[in-house]
Amino acid sequence: MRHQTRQSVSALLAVTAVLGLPAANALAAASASSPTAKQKAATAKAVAARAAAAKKAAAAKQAAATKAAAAKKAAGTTTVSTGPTTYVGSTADMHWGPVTVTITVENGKVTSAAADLPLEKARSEYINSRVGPYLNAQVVQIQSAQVDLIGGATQTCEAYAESLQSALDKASSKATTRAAGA
Amino acid sequence: MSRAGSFRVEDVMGMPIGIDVRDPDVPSEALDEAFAFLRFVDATFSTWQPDSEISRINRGELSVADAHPDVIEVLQRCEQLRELTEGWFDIRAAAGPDGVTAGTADPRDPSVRLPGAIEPSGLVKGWAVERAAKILEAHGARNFSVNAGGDIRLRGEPTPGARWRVGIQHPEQREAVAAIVAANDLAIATSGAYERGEHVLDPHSGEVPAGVLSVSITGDQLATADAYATAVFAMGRAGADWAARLHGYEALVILDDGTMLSTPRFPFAPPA
Repeated sequence: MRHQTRQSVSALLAVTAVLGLPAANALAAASASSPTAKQKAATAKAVAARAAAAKKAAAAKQAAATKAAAAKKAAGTTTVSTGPTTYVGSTADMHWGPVTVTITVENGKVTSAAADLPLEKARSEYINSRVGPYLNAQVVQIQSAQVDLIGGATQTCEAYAESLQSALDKASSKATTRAAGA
Repeated sequence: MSRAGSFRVEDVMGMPIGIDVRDPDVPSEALDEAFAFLRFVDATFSTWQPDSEISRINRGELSVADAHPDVIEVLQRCEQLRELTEGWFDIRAAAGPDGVTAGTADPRDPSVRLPGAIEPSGLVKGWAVERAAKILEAHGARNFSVNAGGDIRLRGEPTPGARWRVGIQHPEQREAVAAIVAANDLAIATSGAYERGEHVLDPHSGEVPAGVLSVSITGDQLATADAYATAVFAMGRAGADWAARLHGYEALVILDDGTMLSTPRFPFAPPA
């Protein structure tokens, strides 16, 4: 049924990515339990801790941004790289542990993508074997459609989406910088 | 010439919010100020934070008349949208039949729920993003995007002469894109059963709407688009017809049998 549906709407759509169900199920299971954890954590104490952590993170981000700006300034705009460049998304806390998405961009196109997933548990290994390859396929697919950002249900697997979105944004921003600088 | 631009994502209001400014000469203070405002909104409007103004209103400790002017503005707009959507966007219904907990305890514990409470988050997000966009514009930004957990405000051009391209996540296949929108100045809001669990309820029956997986609304104002998306989703299968009558707002509805319905002017990107 799903395939029929896809075919019937494909004329209407610019792009429909095709992915296997196991990855979707793994993500659904992970995200289904996260609101509960979130709700449980919503005590006054947790709120205070979150505020403190956010403050700390913001300060660290600010410091990093300043550093990056300084580095950019020092490097100038004369260096135009045509070789592959790797971008690492911010690490996001997933149901099964911290996840970082890394993508490689060559001449403005994503050539590869990988998710750095934790491997301590057998469960994690199972998820890794399922999720990794599908994520890889998707990032390339999104890039081939030349999408600037992702709308819709990013909240469901917010940690995942944040990491993916941030990697994509960094790449597109840098690619634009290179294009404009060249 | 280098295009500086700046991108930042922060976890605010319980979601990742990304701001991507493409103008070269916008100071970093623009993003500082925009995110500071979003944190203020979180502290003021969150029903998860016990000391927010909304939580205090829900506990009866603060009257709306004495609330922050922004709170009064948002609640007035919620009421306008309740009327515009014929009761389908309702911040009292959004709190659930037993009300919200106002951040006091485990929300699933019925003994601490507050009947008659309000949950304006469905409008607050879009309203806050529009205000953040105005802050960016006040600092000279003309080409930027703000993505608040999948609800998006676009302004200007990502690169000279280009339109922003936004992939709308597929409601069933979480890593897939169901459609691509291309636009310069546009708000895009999506409501669906997959957002934080099935939290959008039919305000008349209190039930989870049937037959619809997701509703995306595009238009001029994100808060309005968001409220319309919530309302159309709550209507279930009848929502698409209602959405077709909206002025200035376009809809993309994905039904649970996979059928996609869109209004004639929905801003799909042209096929590659």
